[in-house]
Amino acid sequence: MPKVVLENITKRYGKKVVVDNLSLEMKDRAFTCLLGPPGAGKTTILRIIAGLIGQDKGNIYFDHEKVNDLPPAKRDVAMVFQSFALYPHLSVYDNMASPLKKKKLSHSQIKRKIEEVSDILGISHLLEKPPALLSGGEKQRVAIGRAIAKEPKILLMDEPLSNLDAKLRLHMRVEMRKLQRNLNITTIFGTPDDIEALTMSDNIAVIKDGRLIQYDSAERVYDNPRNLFAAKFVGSPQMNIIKCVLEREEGTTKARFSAFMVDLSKYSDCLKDFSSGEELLFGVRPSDITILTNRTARNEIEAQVYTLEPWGADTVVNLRVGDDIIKVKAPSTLKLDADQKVHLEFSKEAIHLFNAKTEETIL
Amino acid sequence: MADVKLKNLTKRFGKVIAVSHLDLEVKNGEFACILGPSGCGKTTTLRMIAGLEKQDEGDVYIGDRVVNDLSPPERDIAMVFQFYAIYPGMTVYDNLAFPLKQRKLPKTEIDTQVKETASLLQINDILNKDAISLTAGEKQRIALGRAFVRKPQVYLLDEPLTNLDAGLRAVMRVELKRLQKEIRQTTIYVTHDQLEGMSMADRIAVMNLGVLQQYGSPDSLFSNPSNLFVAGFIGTPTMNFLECTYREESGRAKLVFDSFSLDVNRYKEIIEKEKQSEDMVLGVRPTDIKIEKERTEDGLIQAKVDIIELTGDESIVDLSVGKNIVRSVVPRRFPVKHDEKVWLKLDLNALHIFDKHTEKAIL
Repeated sequence: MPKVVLENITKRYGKKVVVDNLSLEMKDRAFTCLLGPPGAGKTTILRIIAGLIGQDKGNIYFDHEKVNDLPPAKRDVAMVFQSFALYPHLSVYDNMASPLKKKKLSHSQIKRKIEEVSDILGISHLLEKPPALLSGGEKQRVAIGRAIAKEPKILLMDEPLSNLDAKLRLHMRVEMRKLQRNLNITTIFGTPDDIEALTMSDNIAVIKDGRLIQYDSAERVYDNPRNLFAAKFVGSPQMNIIKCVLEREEGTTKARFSAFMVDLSKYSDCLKDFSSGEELLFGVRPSDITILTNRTARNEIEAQVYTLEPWGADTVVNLRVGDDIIKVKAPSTLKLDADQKVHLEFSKEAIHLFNAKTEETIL
Repeated sequence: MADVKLKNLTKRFGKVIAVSHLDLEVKNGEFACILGPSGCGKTTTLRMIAGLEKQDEGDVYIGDRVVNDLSPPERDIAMVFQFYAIYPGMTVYDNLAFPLKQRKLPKTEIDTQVKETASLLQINDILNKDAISLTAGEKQRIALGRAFVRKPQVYLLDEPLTNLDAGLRAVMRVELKRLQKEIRQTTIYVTHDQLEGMSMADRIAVMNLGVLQQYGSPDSLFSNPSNLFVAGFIGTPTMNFLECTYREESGRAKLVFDSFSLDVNRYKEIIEKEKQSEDMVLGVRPTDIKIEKERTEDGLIQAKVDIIELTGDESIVDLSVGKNIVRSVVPRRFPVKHDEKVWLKLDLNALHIFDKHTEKAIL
């Protein structure tokens, strides 16, 4: 199974640059996710890899072979579309058989292959049915089955879970991960959903406006976002981003907020290029803040409960701190009332700082 | 402002029963949510309250009046379909006036309404500011405020957040909930998104196939679901369901599964009293299952780690237990590996038991 290498890929539609000088190396046999909002260029990138559209500039390699000029059929890739794109007039069996017939496999070979794949996907009982009689999840499995039956070297998937309901999505997330692991196939997956990306992929490429923002393991994207966009796009509830002003006096470095200060002295090295009075963006994830109902000596951040959002096992507590609203993820066993006064503590290892002008990560 | 009562409300479309014998009471000033999957009858119910749809049976009360024969305007309700973003480059005043101008109201009338809304939203002092200078929260408050310019008896909201991106939706949820508490207007909100219902509403009516399943606070739906449908619909990741048989072994009450059994003697009395057969379904939330590396005590269940999904600050671990898959939620750095053998400890205080045939909660 090959790795997939994109080298300085650019694609324009008229004057609009959809993919902007993007380079990316996707490991063989890994599950790589292209994560970005609608319009980021994910679908275009997948289509360029499949050969369904041509890039204006740049090269594509499967391992060391340049495939720029190979037509889709010769690239040995399979693509699963968001809409599943099943033939409505054909049975599930014939849907799955159609790419195999094109490969000129014998009837018995086709039959064996389809039986094997439907067994893996648990769709053996559906083979005689037309797609119209299938549920969303079943259609999706058939679409994946059709894609993998032809044993592609690379599997491309464009938001395959977006048309499924929430519960099924959760289930299919796990199913797809298992399947990919068992098949051991290079898989590239486009989605706008950060949780899908985190849960399923080995590596995530965060994409915005056709440009690569960050390419890292799922854990690193979550822990060390490259810029403000990646920080806000990954993680639910979203990271709190609060404006603050850098203050230096008598050897200490602090961030001044509308209603409190945070000591940043231990990060003074990272902050040496910033002068006192400069604006910064402070980031902290809702799960990295603790709510204290009793004041302790070391704590100075006073907050007032704005709203409570029960999520089930957790409650997302929205707190007013000066002019800012800060979200905290707390266990639902913590009982709070609207407008109650509390104190907050940030987990010090988990704070992020961003340049307010460039939005690049400082810390 | 008024309370809303639905008595024995039924609506058919041809042979399909869209809403069946629905009784529901929303108190004056309350924020109620009607929640369910597509086709559950939630929108039809809202449209019957609004007078856009006429019920086949039953009564709609707004305050003490039966409004069955009143036209929508006579019912004095406001229906909100969607919240729109607010326009930077326009003042807050002009943003609030915009929908009123579109309705071609006279200038003096517009001025009165804008000022009334501004005092309701407590934003009089920023009316002349450019919207671009506002915080995200302030902006959304104004977007909501535009929808709340009138003061009818009841606000009816039909999935107003659906078309917003995830970040904005999260901000809107907070502001809408806070605003509703401040203005204390009776609000009925329809959604298919359990998280929206849970995080905003005082009480949630869960519907399925036209039938009310349960009506209660977010906490009561999560902690005490009355049947399998509610248990499976509320909470994410979804509750684990395991089929089992009830049996008495040497005087103790047990649930017997394919590969283990669970002592539930503490609930013997309730189960004996409520059970209609021996066929049951055990329900346990992923947050109520702890993973142990060693068999530290009796009654632990042996399992094998199947898939680990990072979701951010937590991971969802899929475990095989006999023929079943069980999900557990653990802190993200919890040290388990793919294929590792572990032991599961269920929180016995948080068990749910359902009758397999009636699907009703026994415990």
